[in-house]
Amino acid sequence: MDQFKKLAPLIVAFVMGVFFGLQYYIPHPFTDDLLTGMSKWFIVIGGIAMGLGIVSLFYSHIYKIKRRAPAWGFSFVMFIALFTMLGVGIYCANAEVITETGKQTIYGWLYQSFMVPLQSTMFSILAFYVASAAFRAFRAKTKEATLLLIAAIIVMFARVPMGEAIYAQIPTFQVGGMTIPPTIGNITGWIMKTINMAAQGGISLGICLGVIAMSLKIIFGIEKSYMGSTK
Amino acid sequence: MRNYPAMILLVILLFLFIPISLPAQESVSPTPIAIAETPSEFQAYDTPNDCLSNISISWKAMSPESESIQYVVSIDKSADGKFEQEADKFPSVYNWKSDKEWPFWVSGTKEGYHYVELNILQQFPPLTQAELNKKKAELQKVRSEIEKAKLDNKDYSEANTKKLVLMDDLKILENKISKEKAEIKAKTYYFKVTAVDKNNQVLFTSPVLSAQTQNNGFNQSLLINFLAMIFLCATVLWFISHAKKNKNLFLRRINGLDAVEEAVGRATEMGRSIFYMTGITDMSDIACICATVILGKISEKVAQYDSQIKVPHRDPIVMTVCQEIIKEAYIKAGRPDAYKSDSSFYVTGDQFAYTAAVNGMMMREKPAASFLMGSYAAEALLLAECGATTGAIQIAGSDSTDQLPFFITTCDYTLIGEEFYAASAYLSREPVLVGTLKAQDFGKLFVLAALVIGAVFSLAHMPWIIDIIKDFS
Amino acid sequence: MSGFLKKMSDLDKRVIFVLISLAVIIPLLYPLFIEINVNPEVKAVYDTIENLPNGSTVFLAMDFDPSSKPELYPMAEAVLRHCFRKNHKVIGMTFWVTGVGLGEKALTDIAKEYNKEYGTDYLYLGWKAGGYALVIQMGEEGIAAAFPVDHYGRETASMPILQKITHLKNIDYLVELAAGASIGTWYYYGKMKYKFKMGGGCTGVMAASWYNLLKIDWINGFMGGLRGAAEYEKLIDKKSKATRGMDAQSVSHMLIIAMIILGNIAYFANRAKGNK
Repeated sequence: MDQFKKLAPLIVAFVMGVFFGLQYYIPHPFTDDLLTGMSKWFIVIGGIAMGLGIVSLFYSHIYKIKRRAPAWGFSFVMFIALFTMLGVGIYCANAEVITETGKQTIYGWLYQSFMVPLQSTMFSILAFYVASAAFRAFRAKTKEATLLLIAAIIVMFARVPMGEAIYAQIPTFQVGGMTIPPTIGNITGWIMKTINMAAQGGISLGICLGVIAMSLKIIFGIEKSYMGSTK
Repeated sequence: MRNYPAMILLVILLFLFIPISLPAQESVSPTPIAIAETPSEFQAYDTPNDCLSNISISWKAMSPESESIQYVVSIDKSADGKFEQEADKFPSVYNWKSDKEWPFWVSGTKEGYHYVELNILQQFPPLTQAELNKKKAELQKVRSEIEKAKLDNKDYSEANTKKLVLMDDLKILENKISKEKAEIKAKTYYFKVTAVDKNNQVLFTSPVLSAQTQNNGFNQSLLINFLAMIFLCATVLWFISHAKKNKNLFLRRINGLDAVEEAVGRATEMGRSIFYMTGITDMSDIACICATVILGKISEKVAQYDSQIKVPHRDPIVMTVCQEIIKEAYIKAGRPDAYKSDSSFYVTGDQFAYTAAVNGMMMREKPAASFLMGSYAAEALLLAECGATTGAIQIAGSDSTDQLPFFITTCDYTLIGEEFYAASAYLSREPVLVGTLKAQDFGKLFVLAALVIGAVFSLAHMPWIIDIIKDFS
Repeated sequence: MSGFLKKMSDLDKRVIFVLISLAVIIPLLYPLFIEINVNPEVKAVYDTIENLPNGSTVFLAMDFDPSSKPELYPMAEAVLRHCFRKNHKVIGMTFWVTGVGLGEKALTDIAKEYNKEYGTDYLYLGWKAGGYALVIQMGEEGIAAAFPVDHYGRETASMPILQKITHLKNIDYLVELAAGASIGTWYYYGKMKYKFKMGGGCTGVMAASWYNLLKIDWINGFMGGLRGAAEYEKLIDKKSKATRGMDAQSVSHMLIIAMIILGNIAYFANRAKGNK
């Protein structure tokens, strides 16, 4: 039985991996339908697994409240939010309320009033974190760090109208049809379209080969750690 | 005495005479355009390498082609039909076979040939399609009526019956429509190509062509892709067998992975936890699988050092997988008693709610080490910067090229691209896994060679060589 | 001076946060009206829509949610204004269930400005599960088959806008406003099969990788981040949220650059002092 428990997932991974790997090369409606069917099953399994997630959530927060763990008050907030949205969704999702923007469902109003501002707030924290990370990280400690620093300053400068306006004050000369110094847009364009693309291409190439190797390891059963077994 | 009537008659006659005597204007019917060479080599066939119900028609262009000449492709179900249905119409200077992205072994000669693709289901749509769309819309309306009745506490049994009847009808229609489509695709269709000038005068008509759609078993455009895949698989398997014999294959140092032991040791000394994030994707993403594999290796070290690991999740399936992985790692390290089932827990599926929760946990617990492995989006910087604020040693590994700059600026070590995928082999040093790394390097060499060869032959204008290395997916 | 430099190198994060707050808030309250230059990739999107014959159909895929609203919503508004000004027909939809309301709001608000009629001049399909399968269905069976009802529950098959534009291959231009990786879906299952023209817009972070897509002809142009939206607003001569936001972005960028330079000066000065 233990052997079967170890072999069954490997067999499934191998058969499905080979089949759907070959599916890419077979333009037959049968294979297309199978792929669509698999995607639907994936959604069904995801839905079932959501139940597991909610159970885990329940237990971990109830345990925190029982033990009076640090910040256990937030666990209460989590339960209030969970049961409110659940209750509204089940019992009165389509009931409408009139707001400044017009008619809206209660569920929609709760989403617009709580989730949207909270999401936007979290996203806006990025502005502060980018500033503090840039201040801390862009130090010319090594040659590579200096190159990174110069490229970052040029791109940050050129991507805003104020930077372009300041740069435009520098007098330019025409030498053999070329503008010296080049416009900041041309410099940034060159950094983005040449250097950036080359670097991204190189990293993407490595990633793709890594993905291929990892996929082959999983299909052939060489990598088994994801099943929980490290043997 | 002046003869006024005669003068008036003369003027009238003059007015009558003058139009007759003016040179005749250009006649309305145009002179036909002279064609030096008529279109030829007409072919109709099932479009290769598609999963659609398309038929292709190609022919050698006439001489001269002109904007004022139009090709009209007509279709009929019978060879003796009137060919009144116009399938396509375009000026003769457009729709070339060379515009089609096919390799030379699929398309044959491309230069100087016109090409048209017709979808049979669009030309002869199933009669049931319109009815099906209508029923679907009706069903949606009935469902909305039922919802409204539930809210208003009204009786909706009639609407419910109607809904069930509509659902049955839809099932029947869907079966009918797929049978109808199969029938439509199985028939032979007949085509004619006519060249007309701007006044719709027919200049040339092709013979009647016939073709039938077929299901294709293999996408021939992807032949080279397929061979490359076989070659890569064979390379991986060869290097794995080679690695089993030679157990000392060289791997360059990856600082981020060397620092794992240091990070776990630091957490044990400080008596604080280790946070491990597996990214925002689910188990269908290779990066997430790779993150779970690395988690197994790190959990083993955590178990050996008797430290504490916390793995907050965004996806419940990943959570259950990681629970098993951590448990197995503790068992393997000989510390099953130290395993805590709530070390891997679900937080929420929402991106920023997850980030806010994890940030809060990090600010309160102040972990000694933080691992960010997997695919990330906007929350990358939020998580990494928060971890940096708490003073944790941070090791990140991601295939998200957009987020790598943020990881590099905020984390102590970053595994870039393939270093992340090499982590499991690097940490375990198992010969089989190291062998696959070698295969990866060989694959990279192969791709680099293809790039150089492609660049050289592209400059030398040898398109058939380019077809061998081009992506036709 | 040395004390200042020492403080600079160990600057408290909270000081940085306060400075950034001021750099963002003050320009929003007191705009600077700095002129914006237009980049060729944004101009390409504008030119495509501008050169389409009046009455063409533009498919607007608004694949973003509230967190990316500040960057992508102004793009949606600017593109819609341009389309409606040129009397183009617009079909809108989204792959993100959390972004349904945003797409609807953009379409309804801008359509009202130009007195456009729903069902004839514009249509909002909303959201439906399916991802790439939906794109294939819209291409193969038709837009009405994929969306038998629109976002408001009205039957789509009888709508005037879908009488001529039945399938994806009939659309004249697709603009994909993406906060995620949906551009791949539209390309592989849409543009590659049905050969329509495609342009796009993305968040600032993704803009660096979208240059690759431009190079390999997935898209003929794109708007990158708030800057892209501001450039498009300049092109259509209707300055709005994105243009106002650029002032705040300008000042905050200059502030970050100044702090980086001061930080480096402090670093080198302290290092030199340490060596002595």
